Amino acid sequence: MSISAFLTRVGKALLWVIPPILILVAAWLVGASLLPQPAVGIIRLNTDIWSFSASLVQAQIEAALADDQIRAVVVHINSPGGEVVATQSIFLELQRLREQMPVVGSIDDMAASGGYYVAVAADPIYAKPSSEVGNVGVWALIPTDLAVNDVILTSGPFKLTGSNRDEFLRDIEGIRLEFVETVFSQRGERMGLSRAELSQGLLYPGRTAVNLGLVDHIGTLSDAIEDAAERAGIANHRVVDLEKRVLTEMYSDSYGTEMWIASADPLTGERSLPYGAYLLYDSRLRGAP
Amino acid sequence: MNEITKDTKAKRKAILSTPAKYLMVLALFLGLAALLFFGRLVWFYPHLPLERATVPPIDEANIAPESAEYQPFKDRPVAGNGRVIIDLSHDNNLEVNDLSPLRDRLEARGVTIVTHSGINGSLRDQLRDATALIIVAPTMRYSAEERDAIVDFVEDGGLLLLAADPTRPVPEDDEFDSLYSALYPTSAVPVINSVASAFGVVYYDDYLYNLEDNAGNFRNVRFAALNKSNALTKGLDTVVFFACHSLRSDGVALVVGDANTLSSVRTGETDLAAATLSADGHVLSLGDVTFMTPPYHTVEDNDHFLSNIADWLAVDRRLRDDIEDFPYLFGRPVDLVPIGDDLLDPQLVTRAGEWQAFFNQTGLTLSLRTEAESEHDAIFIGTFDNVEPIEDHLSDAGVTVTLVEEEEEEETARGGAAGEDETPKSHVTIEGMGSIGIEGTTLLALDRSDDSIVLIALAEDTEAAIEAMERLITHDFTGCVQADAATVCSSGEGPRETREPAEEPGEEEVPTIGRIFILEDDDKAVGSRTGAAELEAILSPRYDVTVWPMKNDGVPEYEDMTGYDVYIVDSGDYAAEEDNYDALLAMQYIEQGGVMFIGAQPLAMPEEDQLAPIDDLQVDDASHPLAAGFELGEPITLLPSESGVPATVMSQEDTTESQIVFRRGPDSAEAGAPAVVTISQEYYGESIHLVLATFAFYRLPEDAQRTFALNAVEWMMGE
Repeated sequence: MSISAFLTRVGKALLWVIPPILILVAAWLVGASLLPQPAVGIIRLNTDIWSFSASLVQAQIEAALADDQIRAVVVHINSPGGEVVATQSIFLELQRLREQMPVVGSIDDMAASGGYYVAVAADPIYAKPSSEVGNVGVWALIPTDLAVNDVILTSGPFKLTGSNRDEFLRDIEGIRLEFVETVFSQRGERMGLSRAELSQGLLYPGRTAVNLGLVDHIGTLSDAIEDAAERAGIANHRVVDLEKRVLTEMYSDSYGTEMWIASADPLTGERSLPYGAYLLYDSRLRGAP
Repeated sequence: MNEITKDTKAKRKAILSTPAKYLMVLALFLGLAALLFFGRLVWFYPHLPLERATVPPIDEANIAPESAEYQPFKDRPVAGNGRVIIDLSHDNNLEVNDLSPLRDRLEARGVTIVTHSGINGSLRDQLRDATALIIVAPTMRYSAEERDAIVDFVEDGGLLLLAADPTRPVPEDDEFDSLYSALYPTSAVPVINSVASAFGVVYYDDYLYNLEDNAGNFRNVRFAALNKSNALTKGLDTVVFFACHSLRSDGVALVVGDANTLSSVRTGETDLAAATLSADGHVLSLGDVTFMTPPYHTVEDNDHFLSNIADWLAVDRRLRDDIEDFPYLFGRPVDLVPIGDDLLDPQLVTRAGEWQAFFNQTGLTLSLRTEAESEHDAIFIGTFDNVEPIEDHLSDAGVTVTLVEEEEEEETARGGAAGEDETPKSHVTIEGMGSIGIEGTTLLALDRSDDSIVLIALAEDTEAAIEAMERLITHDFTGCVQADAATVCSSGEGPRETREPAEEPGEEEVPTIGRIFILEDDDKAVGSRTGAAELEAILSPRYDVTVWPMKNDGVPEYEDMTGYDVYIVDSGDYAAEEDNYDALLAMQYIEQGGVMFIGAQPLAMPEEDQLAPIDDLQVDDASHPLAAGFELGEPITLLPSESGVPATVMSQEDTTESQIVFRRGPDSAEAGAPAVVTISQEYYGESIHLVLATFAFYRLPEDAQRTFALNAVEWMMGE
């Protein structure tokens, strides 16, 4: 066989092999592009809630929304609560996320006060049998009531203080009602407590919380992930730790930064709390402000 | 055939060589690709997402916090009278203006308000002319003496307003740690209860709340269940208390919570009282202070309630009918009338001037006269040997003065020494009290039988009579024994009368003067009771007796225990407990006087102490004053122990430096072991007499109880 004949036969053979392979490769690429392996994102809230921790959660929410592969989210909570506005900020962001994908809650040790406020943004909510759940309410240190004087002239009676005792008490009551109505709006008919009973601020064990309708199921983070995947209609998914991703992006490899968020003073462990707080006041947490 | 086959193969080969054949292969691969795609789809997305529920909105209509309703009330004061003491001597947790609304109302009713800060005399002194006492948010415990003064005051018709709330705990010394103390307060409830308990009122260490219907906050409780039949709450619809205690009282509940008003500690209880009035209408107890303070007194009907309270306080209900009410028992000008010529000396005149100034300060007048005017009240001052002009008054006061000639007394003394019958000395007999020799005695008697009030001060001599008047002025009744209309005091100059031991019941008694503190050591786990009640019943006719039950009142403090002549620690039939030395610790406050420990196990003991039942006693030292009235060798059978707790067996070593007075009787285990020992010690220059008795006092037969108790007290007093 001459060389030219050989090359002709090889060319013919390639003509038979390459296009099908190209078709399969193209099909694979198109499939991977159009049908990527889905993922369930984990948003973690493992600290007091204050401006920084709230912004960290918000960054995780943004990361979930930006990642097409993330089709569902589990909010993993271990928090005694914290600042009112920071808590409400997380709640509203999670509600926005919930309009895009399933958001399932998973309570680890504790979802107290603001921690529970965040939890009710998720549906359903999982907890461990002895997780601590509830503590609905708010507390605050009363502002100083300054008298009118001739040293500092003001344009209005409450310009210096922004409030007086009565108004402040009204604010506190309003924040409590906001909290209670938020819980009732999200939990609906599942709630087995009256508004007054919920306002007692009791902290319930996870199993009791299930019976009272504060949470839905006893289960682990894995259960919550599978539930989220089921709700999103996905299987064989990946799990993406969004907090790790966000922190890695923010601080390169400083994943341990979370520890700095958890307590105001990493040396003493003393917490520095704000004046208005959805927060379980618990000596076990060294909660003295 | 072969050709046909070859032809067929050639045709086929020709077909496979066509582009159609090629396209078939491509289609096959395209099918494979589609299968791959859909396989991936099914692998990763096995079903459509579940339908997501929309995020439910919040019902904003429910987020409407309410505020307390401020409601003006026009106070319509009715003229009242009286002198109201506001006690601020107990570190009261109040701001400067907290009581202004109440003060303003009282002043509008013509009431004199006096603040007792503790530096202007004792509380008892302040209460002498008071008509009402206000105690608000005290944080320093009331002493037994102060409590007694308040009890006496209320029994005498005085009004008592008590108020405390959970937001007014014991203030911390460290002002820089105010937040910590706010979060971890030291409750002041025991403080208010140190007074309230004397009137059957208990403040619970809780706060009330209502989550269903409140005035802006769960702890701002609306009370609509008000006692409409009582003047204090009449005309009110709703009062609001701002964090209040719940109360228990033997009296009338004025302000009561509804079914949704709950206690922070009394789980499940409802209808909780937040304000009560004692059955006699003299003690008003409030579980909240804040409702009286600005601006909260204007919420709902609080202001109206405050006016009602002011009306209640502005009525003088005080009874002024005994000597302790001096000088306020007088309602008219007072004549000071000396009886006996020798009293008309310069000293009396000088003192009378001072007394006149004192009377003037209290709004009364005093005039020194030789004879009382019929339209005036009178004070007669004189000596026992010149009582003829006032015998009628003395008789009305239940007092008889019997004088015996001096020679006769000396004769009696000689006869007594020779063992002959004793003849009475000069003495004073007082109805309901008995007789006492006039030597070293001063008498204050009150005759209220007529329109005028007559007070009589008698003593052995002029100087002592003046001193008796000074006692009245200074209200110093220490060492005095009081009956209905007469008070007998020791002038400290003469010998006290002694009582013959084991006298028969009903025999005329001679008062002895002294103060006794009985510490009822009953806070033990095992045991039945003490004999404090029996001791009090026996001793109180002769002595000023205070009983301190440790189970109820805890360990007394220094101020509770000072000033007594004799201390009796009665542990009854309780078993001593290891590491429970509270009674002994309390004893450290004793600075002088006598002490008796009596009980089955009267001292906290190390484990090796021997215990055995004790059923009888027998006298060992008949010459000891403690054994007076008991027969040597005759066993005293004890009544059965109610608890069965065995008694301590004292060893001889325990009594090396002491005297054994009684031993265990023949029917007791360890018969012959010491049962009652006495010890006399010098302690920092003071002589202390100790009695240690290892049986429960109540187990003595009734007559033996009396003899033993009086013997012991007299010996401990050094008589």
